[in-house]
Amino acid sequence: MPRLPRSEWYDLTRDMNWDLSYITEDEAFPPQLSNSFGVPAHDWWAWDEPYKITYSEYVHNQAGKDAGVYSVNNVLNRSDIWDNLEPGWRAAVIAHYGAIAVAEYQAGIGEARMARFGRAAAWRNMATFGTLDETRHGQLQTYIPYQALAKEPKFDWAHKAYHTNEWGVIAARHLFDDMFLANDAVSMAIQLTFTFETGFTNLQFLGMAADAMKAGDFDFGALISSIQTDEARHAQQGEPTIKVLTKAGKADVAQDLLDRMFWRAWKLFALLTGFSMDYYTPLENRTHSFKEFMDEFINKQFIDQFRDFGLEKPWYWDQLLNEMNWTHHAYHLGVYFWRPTVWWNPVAGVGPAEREWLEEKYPGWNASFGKYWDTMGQNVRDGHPELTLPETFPVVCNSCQLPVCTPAGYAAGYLESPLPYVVEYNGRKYTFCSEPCKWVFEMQPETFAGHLSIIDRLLSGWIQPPDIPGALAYMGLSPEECGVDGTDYDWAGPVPPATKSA
Amino acid sequence: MTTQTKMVGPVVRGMDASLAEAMITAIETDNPDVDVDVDDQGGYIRITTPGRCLLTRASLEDALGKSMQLHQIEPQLAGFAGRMLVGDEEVVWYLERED
Ligand SMILES: [Fe+2]
Ligand SMILES: [Fe+2]
Repeated sequence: MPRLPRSEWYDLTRDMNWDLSYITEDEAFPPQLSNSFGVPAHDWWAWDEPYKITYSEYVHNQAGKDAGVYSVNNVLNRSDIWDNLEPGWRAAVIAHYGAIAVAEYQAGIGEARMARFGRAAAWRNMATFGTLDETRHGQLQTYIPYQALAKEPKFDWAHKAYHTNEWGVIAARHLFDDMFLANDAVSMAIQLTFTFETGFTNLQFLGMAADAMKAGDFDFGALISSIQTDEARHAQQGEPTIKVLTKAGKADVAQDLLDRMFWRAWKLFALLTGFSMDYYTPLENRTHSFKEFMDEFINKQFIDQFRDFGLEKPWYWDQLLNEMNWTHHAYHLGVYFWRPTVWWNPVAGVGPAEREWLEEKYPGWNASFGKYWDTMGQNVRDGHPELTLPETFPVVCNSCQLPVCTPAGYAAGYLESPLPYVVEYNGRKYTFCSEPCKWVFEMQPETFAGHLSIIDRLLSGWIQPPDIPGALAYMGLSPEECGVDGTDYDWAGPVPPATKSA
Repeated sequence: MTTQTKMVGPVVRGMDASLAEAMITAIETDNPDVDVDVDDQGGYIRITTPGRCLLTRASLEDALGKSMQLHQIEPQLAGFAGRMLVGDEEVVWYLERED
């Protein structure tokens, strides 16, 4: 049977653009769901994806991908591999599933919005594949932890997390609602597929895959790297969208969308990927530090890509480079201290060898962040592990919803002031962890002002009783589910046996 | 590898050794005048060349010893440096901006 080269029929089969006559453009593409930013309807039809695939090719590839992931899982599921993994690695995997699995389904809703409200047929076609991709990611990352529940009850949080008000989940939801659930198709192509998927997901899905293989967790490594092959394809919706905007003289629109989401994505990854790579991954399995992965995937690979479209580094670039030295160390310290408030069992990851590594990767770590751990270690050795646990709450940023760590950044010599940034809006005071977080809020105060952070909720009387047990109940954490030290304080050195597991 | 030149090329999963090896061989064949940088991280392998990286279907089939459509590399293609253009007979990773 004679076969035409794909390039000779591809455009014809995927292009189904038509002029509207029965309804107006705004009726077919309401601006809330698809902001044209003033680009005329026909100009969007020039949208041309650089990574082309047909439906039959797609189905063929995806079936093969799933066969690969499930066969690895089937073999390993019957082994005791999970039991043999280090506590730190287990913490990283449990944190991952809770933070990511249900968000994948939500990304599927976002892709489906582009599949309907994308402004060119070619785009809607790609987004249809993206919708199927994200459904796959949601299914894989709820199914695989689900069938391992007998080994690890905490895997319940793969499905449960997004149905709670746990503080990290509030932060993730705030970000993802802004990025896709409540976003319009055009902004989403820049913010979800380009900024987030071309840029940041590489850190958690490829960087961690490298560490997973070294940690002996082939199941997880095969899973997340396979997911990333879908991302690498559907993330290509960003490039043609930027091109259309730029050609129409709207490069500033693309730049602004990128700048706002780039910072927001940084904050969440500084939390999740930061502690996973630099503290939870066992020392001997670490391929790079978090900062080195940021350099590789973001500061080089991603910057090269977006500068190639005529975009520039965000205005706060120096602040990003500054935060890369310290922010995730502060977040890790906070997560460890407030460990009852998370669904995994954090490890400290600061034994003597780890501290040497941290000092090498982040010169000055011992003299700054090391000191907090000195104190906690002493308290544990003195038989007072309760002193390493919280009685009060941190201040939380009204933009990223993560703890304000400016005092730690100041004490470590990276900030000029320990004070947070404050904005008055409609008679209310809002607090921010950084200048870009404040800027993100001020760009769209009407969008963000009504949201209450976990601390706002406490102060508003939503959380009763307004103390740690009341907050844990509000966050959906039963006493059995609250995080405890994943190594039973091994990191602190010799401890009198009676004080362990306090 | 100089720091001034932007490196481009595929980042492949470390799960299918034969395809990864074949891609390295094919990229070496298709880009004869440059050094191909292979950074094997176990979980992923970064295969890059300066500025422009070509991969043809013919070279890939030669290296694999079987016929293959280029879209079939997708299950192992976890990412890439640069921009990517996929055609019937070749894939190109490239960057245009000099500075
Ligand atoms: Fe995904
Ligand atoms: Fe995605």
